[in-house]
Amino acid sequence: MSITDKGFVFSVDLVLTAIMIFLMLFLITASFSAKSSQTVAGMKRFQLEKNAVFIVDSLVKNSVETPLLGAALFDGEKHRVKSNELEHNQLKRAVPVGPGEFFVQRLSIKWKNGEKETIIWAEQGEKNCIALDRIALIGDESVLVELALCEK
Amino acid sequence: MKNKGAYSSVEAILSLLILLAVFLSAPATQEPSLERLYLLQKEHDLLKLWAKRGIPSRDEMIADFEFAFPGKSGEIRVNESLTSIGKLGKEAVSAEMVFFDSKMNRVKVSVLVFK
Repeated sequence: MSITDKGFVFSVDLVLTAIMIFLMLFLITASFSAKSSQTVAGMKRFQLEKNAVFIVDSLVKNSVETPLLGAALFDGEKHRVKSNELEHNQLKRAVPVGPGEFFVQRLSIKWKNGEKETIIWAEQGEKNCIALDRIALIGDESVLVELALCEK
Repeated sequence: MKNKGAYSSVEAILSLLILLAVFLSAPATQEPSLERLYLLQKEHDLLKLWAKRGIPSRDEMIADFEFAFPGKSGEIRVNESLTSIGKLGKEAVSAEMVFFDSKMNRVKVSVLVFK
């Protein structure tokens, strides 16, 4: 033990306390790091979910050249889009959109009698994916338009 | 102790341990989710469908609900008539629509889905 008139007294107690303090700081830092990783992963998932919700909403509500972003019927007489009423031929021409942070893994139509029609299909691999569906009419029949979006 | 310096005590160690416990027990932040919006959009889809095709019978409404929300429970209300589907839950998302039929009778339809 080293003792001076002014200064620190070195002792085993002090060493033990210092070890405990550093261990605590390490645990706090590790905890914050784990929580921030969790938050980043959560935000990525939210981003994917947001894109999926908006794309499938656009598909059933709009009528545009890109069928994936709008396959609703356009009423020429009334000059308006008939939301949730889809044009089957237009929808069948849907192709995945350009490069981005995600890709369309699957676009399909599920009929009420149980039949399924796949329009777009891609290998999922080990990617995080989210699948959503919306109800629409094709002709007089109710269908579920299913969209699966995956991270690249 | 005669000399000036730093020293540790059991009370100090206990205080530091309690402080550590407080830091580590901080509640996890809730992840944001668009599930409620998504359910609301699907409910609107279903109501739109019924508005376009006319209000179907009770059995057809149940069939449409089960087609749109497979595996989920909920309630359908047409004016004062309530139909429950599946078990009641705690959290729900609901949407309603008011329209007038061909005889100008007011019809209020609401769909509720348990999360």
